[in-house]
Amino acid sequence: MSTPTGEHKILFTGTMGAGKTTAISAVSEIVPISTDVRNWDLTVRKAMTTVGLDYGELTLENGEKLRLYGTPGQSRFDFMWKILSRGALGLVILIDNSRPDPLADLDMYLDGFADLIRRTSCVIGVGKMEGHPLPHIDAFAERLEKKGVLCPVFPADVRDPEQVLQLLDLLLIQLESLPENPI
Amino acid sequence: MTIDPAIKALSESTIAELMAQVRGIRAVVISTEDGFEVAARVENTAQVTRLAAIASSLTALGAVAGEESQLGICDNVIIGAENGCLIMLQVRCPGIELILSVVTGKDVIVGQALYFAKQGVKALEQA
Repeated sequence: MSTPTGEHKILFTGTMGAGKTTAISAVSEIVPISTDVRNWDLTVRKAMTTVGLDYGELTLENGEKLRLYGTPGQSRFDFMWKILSRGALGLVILIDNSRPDPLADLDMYLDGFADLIRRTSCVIGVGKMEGHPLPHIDAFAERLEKKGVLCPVFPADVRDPEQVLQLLDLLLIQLESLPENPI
Repeated sequence: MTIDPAIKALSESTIAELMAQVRGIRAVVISTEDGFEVAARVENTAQVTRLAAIASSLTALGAVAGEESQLGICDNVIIGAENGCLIMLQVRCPGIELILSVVTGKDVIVGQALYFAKQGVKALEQA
């Protein structure tokens, strides 16, 4: 949501380990707020997991500020998805292509954030493609089309701040092109 | 998820004791800090998974709020609602952090429920 002070709320979501916390840390100009705790889900090789939210801030060249929120990835935390969606201007969905079914992961977030996507816009960043090239970007684009969602999908290594900034740029371009430009 | 059977057994006995001590408690769930059930006694068992996840998020947010407000470590979060309250307490056992969540009816005195819940936390932490 745009505020009179030129601040916009952007949401990052995606599976556990897709890089939401990493993406926000990569570009935040403040020390990010994190709610990571020890992970007890042995099906996922990860020491820590976000259970509340991540938060960071980024000032754009035009002086506008992005407030970056990361959601927990697991669907058992979907109540946080709803809370964090309130007032959001756009959504970045991060996909981990090394997981068993990345297209099903995409479906879960498209469904979970359907209201937000309908109201605003989203961009998809697919990670770990160098070691796991399948499914191709085209397969994600086809899946988006089938779901009736029009948004860009790109490979992204969110450890690289430039690539996170690129995702945010794409999202803002998408938002500017909406009939009712929310920015 | 592999939880020490001794922790699980102690969690179950702590819940039983708490429910016996305070009349009007509707549910008690002990869960891992990332929202998995360790032990529970709830009227509607469908609530357990949800309550464990909610407690995980809220205690993590309570911890951040405590730190950001320079209040130190957050020990508990209390939600007061029309028909009762939800008390969530951090349990710092050696090797594992847990959350003890208590749902009460509206006739329960919050202070009393909190006191006995804290006794339960102490028992778990000293195990």
